[in-house]
Amino acid sequence: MGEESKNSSGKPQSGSIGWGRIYISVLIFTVIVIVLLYFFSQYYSG
Amino acid sequence: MHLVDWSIVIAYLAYVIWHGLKLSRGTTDTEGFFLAGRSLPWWAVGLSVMATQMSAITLIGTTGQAYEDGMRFIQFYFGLPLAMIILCVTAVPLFYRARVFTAYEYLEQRFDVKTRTLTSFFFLLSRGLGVGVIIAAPAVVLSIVLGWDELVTIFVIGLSTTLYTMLGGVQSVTWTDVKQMAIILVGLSLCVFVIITNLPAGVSFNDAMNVAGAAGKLETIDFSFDLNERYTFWSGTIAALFLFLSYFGCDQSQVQRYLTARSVDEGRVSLLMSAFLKIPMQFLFLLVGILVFVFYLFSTPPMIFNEVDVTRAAAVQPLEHERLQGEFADAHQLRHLAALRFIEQQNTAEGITARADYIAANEAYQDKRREATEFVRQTNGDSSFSDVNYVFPVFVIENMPLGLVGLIVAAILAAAMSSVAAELNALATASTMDFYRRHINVNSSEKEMLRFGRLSTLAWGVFACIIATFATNLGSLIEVVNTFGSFFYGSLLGVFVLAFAVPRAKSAGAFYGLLFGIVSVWIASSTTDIAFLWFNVVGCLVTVAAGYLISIVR
Repeated sequence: MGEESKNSSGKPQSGSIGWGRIYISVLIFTVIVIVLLYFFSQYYSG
Repeated sequence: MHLVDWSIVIAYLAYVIWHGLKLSRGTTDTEGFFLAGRSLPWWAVGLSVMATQMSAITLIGTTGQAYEDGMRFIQFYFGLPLAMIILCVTAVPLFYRARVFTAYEYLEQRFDVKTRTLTSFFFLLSRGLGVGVIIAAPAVVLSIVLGWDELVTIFVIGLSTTLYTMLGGVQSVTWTDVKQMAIILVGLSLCVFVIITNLPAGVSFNDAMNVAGAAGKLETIDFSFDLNERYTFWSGTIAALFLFLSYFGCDQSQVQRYLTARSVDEGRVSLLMSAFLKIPMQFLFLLVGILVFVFYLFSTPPMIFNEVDVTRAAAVQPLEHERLQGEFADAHQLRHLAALRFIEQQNTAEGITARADYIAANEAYQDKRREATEFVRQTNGDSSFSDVNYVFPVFVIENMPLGLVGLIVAAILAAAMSSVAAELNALATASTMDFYRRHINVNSSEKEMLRFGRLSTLAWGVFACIIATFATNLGSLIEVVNTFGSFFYGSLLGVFVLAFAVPRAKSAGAFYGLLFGIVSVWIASSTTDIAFLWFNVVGCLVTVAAGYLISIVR
C-alpha cells in the first residue's frame, strides 16, 4: 500500500498503484458476476 | 431457545461491551476517538463499511424477501461497484487531503459555514430519527420470535451499542464491526450448509434449485424499463448508483469509516472491497431465503410467520381462521407432493406435465398464503401487515440445531448493532465538530471535545431508543423517516457534485440548490408514482441545475 503523500492527488502517479487497472478489473468482475447471475437465472427458471 | 443458545447470545453481548471498554483506555484525543488517529488497515475499514451498510432489517428482510419474492432484489446492488470507483477517484482523496472530521466540514472549506451547517443539520435530523428505526425494526421481530418484551429488545440493542460506542469511539466501532461481520458470514454460511445437508433423501442441491427456479424464485434480472417498478436492472444500475454515491460519499456514517484508514490508498481499497464482495454476499443472503423456501416445500411451514398477530386475528374470528388453516394445510400437502413428483420426473417424458402441476400447486399455495395475510390485515385493522421479516428468524428458531440458533440470533443482533454503532458515532462526530466546536464552544480544548463527543453519543443513543419505542407502534413513523431520508439523499449528493465538479458553483448556489432539490423530490413524490430509488436522481439533478444557475446569476 502506498503512503498518502504519494497518492494524495487522487490520480495514478509514476511508481504508485495502477488504479486505472484496478478500477477496470472491478468493473469486469462486476459484469462477469451479473452475466453469471443471468445465466444462473435462465438455467434454473427454464 | 435452549440454554446453550442463550449462553452464546449473552457471551456475544458481554464480549462487545468488554471490547469497547478495553479500547476506551487508549483514546485520549478527538482524532483518536472520531478517526482512530487515521491508523486503521484497509481490510478492517472495508469490513466496517460493509457492516455499517448491513442493518439487521437488511439481513432478515433480504432473506424473507427471497423466500416470498425471489432473488430480484439483487439488482438493487448492480450500481454499487461503479459508485465505489467514482468515490475512489473523487471523494476519498478530497476528504482525506482536506483533513476533515466530517463530510460537511469539507463544504465549509469549499463554500461557506451556512452550507456546512445546513447539510450537517439535515444529516443529524434524518439519521437521528433513522437510527431509531434501525433499532425498532429488528427489536419488534426479535421480541415476537424470542418472546421478549419490545422494550427489552430495544434497550438490549440500543444501550449496549451506545455503551461500547461511547467508551471506545470509532476504534471500538470498527473492530467490533470486523467481529460482527465474521459472526454474520459464518452464521449464514453454516445455515446454508445445514439446510443443504438436511434436504430430504433423493433431493440434491440441483433439484432444490430446479424447484425454486420453476416457482420463479431465481429470476434475478428484469430488463424492463419501468420507473414505477422498484427493482429492475435499470433502477439498480442508474437510480441506485445515485443512492450509493450519496450514501457512501456524503453520509457521515460511511465517510467516517474510510477517513479512519491509514492512507488515501487504504481508504480506496476499503471501498473497493465492498465493490468486489457486496453482490456475492447479497447472493448468499438471498440464497438462504431461497433454501428456506425449498425447506418448507418438504416440511410444514406456519401459515403466517408472525404468530402474535395471527393468534390475535384467530381470537376474533376463530372459525374463519380454522377454515383458512385447513385449506392452507391441504394446499401445502398438494404442493409437497407435486414438488416430489416434479423432482422424480424432471428428466423423463412426463417432466413437463409434472413441472406444470408443481407450478400450479405452488400458485394455489401462494393464493392461500395471500388470503391468510389479508385475513390478518382485515381482522386486526392493519393494512400494512406483512410477515416477510419474520420468515428467517422463525425458521432459525424452529429448525436450526443447538448452538446455531444462538449464533444466528447473535448475528441478527450483530447486524443491528454494527449499523447503530456507526450511526451513533457519526451523529456524535457531526454534533461535536459541526456544531459544538464550530458554533457553541469555538475555543474548546481536546478534553472538552472528547467529553462532548462521549456525552453526545450517549444522548443520541437514548434519543434513538426513545424513537424506537414510538416507531414500534407507529408504522407510519417508519415510512416518514425513510421518505425523509430519500428526499434528502439525492439533494445532498447534488451539493457535493457542485463542490467537486463545478468550479463556478458558489455558496449561495449550493445552499439554495439543496433546498430546491429537496422541494423537487417532495413534488415528485406527491405527484407521481415513481419508485423511491429515482428520487435520488431527481434530487441530485435539480440541486446541481439550480445550484449552477443560482451561482451564475448571483
